Amino acid sequence: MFILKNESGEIISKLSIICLLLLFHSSQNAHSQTFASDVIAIGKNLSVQTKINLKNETKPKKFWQDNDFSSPTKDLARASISFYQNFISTQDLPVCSFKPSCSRFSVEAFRNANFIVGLLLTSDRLQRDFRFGDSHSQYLFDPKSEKFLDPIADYIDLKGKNEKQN
Amino acid sequence: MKNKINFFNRAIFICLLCLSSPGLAQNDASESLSHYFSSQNLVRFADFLWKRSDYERAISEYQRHLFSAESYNDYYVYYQLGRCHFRLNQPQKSARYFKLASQYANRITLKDTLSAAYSVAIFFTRNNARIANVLDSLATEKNTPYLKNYLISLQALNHLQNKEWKKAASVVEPHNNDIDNKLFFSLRKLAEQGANLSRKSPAWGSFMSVLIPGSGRIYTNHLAEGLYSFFLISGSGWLAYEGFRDSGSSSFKGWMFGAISGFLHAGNIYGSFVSAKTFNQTLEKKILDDVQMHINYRISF
Amino acid sequence: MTFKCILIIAFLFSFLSHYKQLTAEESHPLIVQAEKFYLSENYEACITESLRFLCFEPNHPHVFYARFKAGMASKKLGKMREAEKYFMEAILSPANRDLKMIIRHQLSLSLISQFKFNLAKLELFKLTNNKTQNELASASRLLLGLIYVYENNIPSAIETFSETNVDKLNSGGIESDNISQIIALLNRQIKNPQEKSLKLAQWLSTFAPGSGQIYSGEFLNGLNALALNTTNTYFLWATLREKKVRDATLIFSMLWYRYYQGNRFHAKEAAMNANLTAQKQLFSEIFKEVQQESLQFSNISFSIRLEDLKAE
Repeated sequence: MFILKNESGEIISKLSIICLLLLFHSSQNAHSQTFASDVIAIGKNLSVQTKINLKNETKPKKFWQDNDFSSPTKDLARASISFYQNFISTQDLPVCSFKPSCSRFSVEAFRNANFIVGLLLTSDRLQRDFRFGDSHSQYLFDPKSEKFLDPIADYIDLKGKNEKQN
Repeated sequence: MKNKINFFNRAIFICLLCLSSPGLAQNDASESLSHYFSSQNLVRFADFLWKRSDYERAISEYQRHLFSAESYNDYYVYYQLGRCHFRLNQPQKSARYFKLASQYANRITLKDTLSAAYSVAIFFTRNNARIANVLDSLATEKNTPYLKNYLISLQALNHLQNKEWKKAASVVEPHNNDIDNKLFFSLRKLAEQGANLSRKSPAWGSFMSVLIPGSGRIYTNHLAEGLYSFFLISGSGWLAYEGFRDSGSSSFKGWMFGAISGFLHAGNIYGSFVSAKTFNQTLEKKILDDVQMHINYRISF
Repeated sequence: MTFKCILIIAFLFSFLSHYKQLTAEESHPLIVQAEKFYLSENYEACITESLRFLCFEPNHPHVFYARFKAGMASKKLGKMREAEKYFMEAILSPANRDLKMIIRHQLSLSLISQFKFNLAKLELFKLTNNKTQNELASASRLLLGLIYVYENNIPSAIETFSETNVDKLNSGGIESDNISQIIALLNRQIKNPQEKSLKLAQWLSTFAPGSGQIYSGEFLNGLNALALNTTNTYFLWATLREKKVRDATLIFSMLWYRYYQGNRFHAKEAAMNANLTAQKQLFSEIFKEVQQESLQFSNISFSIRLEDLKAE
């Protein structure tokens, strides 16, 4: 029916009419949101769940995925901490009083400062990590994780470092 | 016959094209809508959005008004734009609109209010050089006492925020006998407190830790941390000594605990230095919190 | 000639139905404008025009529709919190009871997206008790059942899904295969729960470090725990053998006891993770069935259109 032996003008006019019809039909129902599509959207939301972690911490970046360490000594430090985090700390009780934990704090210290300062900050942090009475009143307490907040930004000027990098 | 058929085909095609035009359906609707987009109604709607705290939409409506041919009472719209940008934490844009508003304002009291708003927006840009320039340029002899005191208080608060205690005191000192005396009195008191804080010396704290591990922390009022460090370092040092005493210089125990003791001692010295700095910052923070309270009080829009 | 007539008739039919949507003479022009923006996917403009309507016509009977449209546009933009706010305002505005039920349904969807299950359940209870709109009640039961499964409340989930089949039978239909499959899965979960016992995992690790983790399926973790505890025990034994009591006390208190307790703690965590994985597996199986079941509503869009306002 559509392939005609008449003039080509007639074929074009028929095809264009059909296209117009299709356009009208499609535009009417293009934007109706059905219940099925709502269910799919909900399913995507609800299927995202994280594993239970009783220490209330998310998993750290893997050592080989972490590219922010600029020198061999820092790489060695990062590797040692990574070994500790994956093999020793996973068997330990959640005894750290601070958030972030001492190993995470140490990783950030080595990331944002030189090797010596990183080492000194790690040592200092380990000497402050204990709970005895009201010994940490100078730190802010996070009621959600029940730990004291002690971020690396309190010890290293991160803003200045970022501005220099930019 | 063929020509008639062709003509009929073309006629249908043209009619269908015309009928498909959506414009035909909308003429009546657009006439009644234009009433809602008049200048007055644009501002009314923008004010409605402002009250609902929908600042981004309010900005686009105020700007639509400015671009319309009948824009009037511009100073109010510029003022509202400034307030919207301020609420969205955009002090640069906010300052620009407040400046425009003060240029369009006709009454002196209104100009003063708008100049004060402009100075506060500049204050929040945290650009010290620009703040000093703007506050100096706004301070003229023609200022009303309200604006004059406002600018002086902002200058003093800027110095206090930057921990320039003596400069803050010098700004406020000549105006102690003026009106708004209570404010200047409290600012002067804050400046004096800042200048006379009982700070701890980081170098002295480190030196104390070199001599007796943990004493640097006790110096900065962290007793528990100091004692814990002392026991850790002295304990590991004692175990290292025992190892070397029992097995000589090849003792694994001696070297291991010696290294631990050295590591902790170095960390303790550095930690005492940092602890003293943190102690000083904590003292200053109490004053800076009061300064922030005064700054919040100054913002009345 | 016949072909031309058919084309003309078909075109006029589709054009008139489209023209009907465009004009909607009895609706306020701002609402029509908002509707147009919504249909052309310009959702921010749709929200603006809805708010404009609310500003200038606060007492208009179609205020609820403007709020509803703003909520739908916010939902499309992914701003669920704003959508929730608009839907709540729409419910509080005066409107027909049936239309309010549709608004409640959309509100429940926005609440579920924000993980506010308790509030979503309140809305869904009202919808499932609705006798006039059976499809909406069925759809709401599906959502409610899904929430119960997510929260691991299996008995309530079974009850909710069973009610769906009962309603279908009462209205003269047949039981749905998908719902029957869901109920079968849930019953299987109750009779044969694939849960790891937290106490058993901890007791296993008490006697053999690492065995609790292996019981929960975490083999590497279990081997790691075994290796670490064995090393600590060796050091402790070696020190005791040399009769260095003080060193042995230090090793016991600072190393052995800490990592032994850590092993028991992580055995419990491993069991909890295994249970969570099983729960997730059950949820995804049930969700597939719910998705299949929801296709029966593919011709129904639980929304309010301009024509519904004219019909009021």
